[in-house]
Amino acid sequence: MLKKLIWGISILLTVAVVAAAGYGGYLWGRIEKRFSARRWQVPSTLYSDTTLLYPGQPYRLGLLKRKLDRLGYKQTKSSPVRKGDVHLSHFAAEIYLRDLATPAQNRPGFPATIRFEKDRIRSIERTDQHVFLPLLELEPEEIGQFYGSRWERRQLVSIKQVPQHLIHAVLAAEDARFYEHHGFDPRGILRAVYINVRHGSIRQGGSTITQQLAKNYFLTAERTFSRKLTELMMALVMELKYDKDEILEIYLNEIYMGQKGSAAINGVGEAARFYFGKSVPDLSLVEAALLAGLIKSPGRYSPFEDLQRSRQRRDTVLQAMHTRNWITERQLQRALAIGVDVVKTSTQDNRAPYFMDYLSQQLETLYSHQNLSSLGMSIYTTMDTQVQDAAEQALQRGLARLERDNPSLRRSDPQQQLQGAVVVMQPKTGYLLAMVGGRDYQSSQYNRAVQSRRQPGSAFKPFVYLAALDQLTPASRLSNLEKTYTVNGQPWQPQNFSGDFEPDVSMRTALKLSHNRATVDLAMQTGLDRLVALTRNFQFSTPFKAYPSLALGAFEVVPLELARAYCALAAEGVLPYPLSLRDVADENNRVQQRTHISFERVTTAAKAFVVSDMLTSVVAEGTARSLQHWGLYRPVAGKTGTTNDFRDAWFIGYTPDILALVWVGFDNGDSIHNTGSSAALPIWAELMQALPWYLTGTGFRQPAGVVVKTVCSESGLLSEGRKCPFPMQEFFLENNVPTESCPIHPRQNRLRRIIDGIKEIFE
Amino acid sequence: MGSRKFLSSGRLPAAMLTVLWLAVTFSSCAPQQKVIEPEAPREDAGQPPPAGESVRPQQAAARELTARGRRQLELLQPDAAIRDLERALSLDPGDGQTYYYLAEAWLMKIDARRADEFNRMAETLLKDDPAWLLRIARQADRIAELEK
Repeated sequence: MLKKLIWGISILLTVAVVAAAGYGGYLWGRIEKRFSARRWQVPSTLYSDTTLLYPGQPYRLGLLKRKLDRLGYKQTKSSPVRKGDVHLSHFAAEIYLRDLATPAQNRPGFPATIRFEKDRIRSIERTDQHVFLPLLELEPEEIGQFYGSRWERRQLVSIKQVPQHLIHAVLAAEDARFYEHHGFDPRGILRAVYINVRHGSIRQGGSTITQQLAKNYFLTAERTFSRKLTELMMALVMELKYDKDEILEIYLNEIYMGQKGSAAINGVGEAARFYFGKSVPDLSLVEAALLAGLIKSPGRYSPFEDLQRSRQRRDTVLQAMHTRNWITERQLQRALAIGVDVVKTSTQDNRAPYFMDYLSQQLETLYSHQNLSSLGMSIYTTMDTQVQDAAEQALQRGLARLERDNPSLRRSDPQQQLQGAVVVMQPKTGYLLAMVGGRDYQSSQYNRAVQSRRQPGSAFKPFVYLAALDQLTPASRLSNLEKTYTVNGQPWQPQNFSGDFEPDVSMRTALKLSHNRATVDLAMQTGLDRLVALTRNFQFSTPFKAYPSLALGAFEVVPLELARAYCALAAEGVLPYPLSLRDVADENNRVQQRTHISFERVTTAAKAFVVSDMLTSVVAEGTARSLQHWGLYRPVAGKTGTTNDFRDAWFIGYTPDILALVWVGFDNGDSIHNTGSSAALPIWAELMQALPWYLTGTGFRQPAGVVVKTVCSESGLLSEGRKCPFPMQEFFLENNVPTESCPIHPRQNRLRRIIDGIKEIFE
Repeated sequence: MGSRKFLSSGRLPAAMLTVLWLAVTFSSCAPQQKVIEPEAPREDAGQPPPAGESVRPQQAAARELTARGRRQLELLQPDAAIRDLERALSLDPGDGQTYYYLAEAWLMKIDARRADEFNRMAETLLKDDPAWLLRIARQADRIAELEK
């Protein structure tokens, strides 16, 4: 009988051991999958473009300061002696540049002084060699990293980078015997039980750091015996699998440290940046203690929630460190005397989120999520962070201004609020400098710059005028009279927005004042099929149809495609391929992928120039003339757009150097009760004001095939030798110049002209 | 009447005739709608501009990059050259010479399609410079050869 019992117990024990071993093996596999993979995976990092500085550049010292702040340069009180330091005075910045390691170059850092004069860079001097530089390139900014299927900003730290006082602070706060136990600490549990019983409440937990890892990453928060047992087993397996430093490193990079907006702060790297604006190696003892104190309850002990409570918790951690002899009495007293000083950084989880989403989609055609989040690649983009920031800010402010001035535009539901999109490109290179796809990425990830299709309204008109240039000229007269057209068997009568009743207008004036009737008249004269064919060249994805309403932008377009099409007008008739990605380099900075400037001719340089010149009239004296109130007098070409019932407001403006598109509207098509000129244009203007170095004052160059002639502004025909009261100079395509003289005004007496000419000389 | 007699007599000095011709020409239409900036003449990329030439700071910086790109081409490093030249374009997208050298770089990489794109753009931008137009035409021939 006893023998049977012993056999029975033995069998049961064997089964239990085998089951435990099997379960342990299963847990080993789970841990392996979760952590080993994670530990050896290095996420790919996204970078902005580098920044070029040069003497004479319109660039304020304040802008440079912000740029250097974002690049993580540390301000010093005297001339910098270490890479990454900067000393700022009223008119100069002394910078010790960091090494610049991109696929393009490998430049060791050096000290340089940038001097300013009247909001311009006066000189750039390399101070160790006493030479003046014609050009200086600043490092690209890190924008984000790929984790799993998404990208985010996270500051990973190696255990070697973590200062000893932070390690001690975390251990003092969470698991002082971490280096002494094997994942499970009976002494710790007993102490916790004793303290909790003594106080009659839960004051201390008995979980080790290893158990916390197991709990946080594999288990639910339920308080059951089986969950606790699993946690225990996992902790033991982890301790078997990894050494202590490895476990601590994973813990420090994964632990929850609070919230920034709707996003969690995970890891001490991100926490150091969020609470103190510092990197982990730069944390002081008191800062380390405060961070360590947060782990217990980040919400409760957050310095942003309750400064006093946060300080008390920090001091408890400091006391615990002293008890373990990790800090001296003197260090403790000094630390206790220091107040809590935090610097809350932006609550924006990710920078340029819409741009990054757009880029991610492109990257995903080249690499899998797995590779992006594990191969440690460096991805260099075309983004100019200063343009991006300016675009985001201009859109935010512009929409807020509209809501302030028009209370009917306010919506309580963030999903329903007034929206906008901004695209900024370099017309000739196709570089996408900035993209804002909406007002608030947290509440809507829908990227209106590339995912939405909206009617462009009058913003489409330049293509109608471009298509007409073979037959007509900017001086040609167009009928502005009311006409009825048949669309799908139905009568359709375009109306002028301004109610202008001039019976006929020149092509330039019709575009300048955005006359609908004259534009439809023009499209009909040109031929709608020809217009549709032209739009195909511009590679719109919209299936345009030969309807008269096409001329007024009735067909919906993707904003980015519209911006790109305008680029061709700014870039001598070539349509650039839009580029957001420059280089992809492997972990050794060897190039894996490169993109290059590429373009396709879609119209002649001459035609592009004539349309651009007509569009400068829109800004100078047409529907966009309010731009001048913003101090933007430089040669800017642009077009406003407003759709039926004020559902969409557009402004697309450009110089030869930069192009920006702004769209404003509601996702559901509600009226915004504003025009392109009043809603979108101010956003464009504010954006451009923030980018003085892009507004160089370069005009549109007259290409071959364009001639200037003097014409009568009434007839649009040659004015030479005629008594035209308002003659004007106009650009014409060389092969389409008016040959007839003005029939309205009589020929001028030759003698009279001679006498007038002499008079004019002496006057 | 006196004026007419004077004119028909043929005794008016040539200089006066020129003045009159100018007066007639400019008297017909006074208002000027716009001023087109003339293209500044250039010696060569990366070289200091001739005395008196007004070069915008951005152009000067771009020229530095173009010169660097050209040096890379001389070292038969087309990839490095393309980087510098593309960077130059981002500073001064209207510089025809940069497009010419980009075409040269793509020729070196045996990519006729891209070389042709840049060659045509150079031609558009350097239309007023006969010496450059000749070089561009020769380059176009080499591209055409490559395409065969």
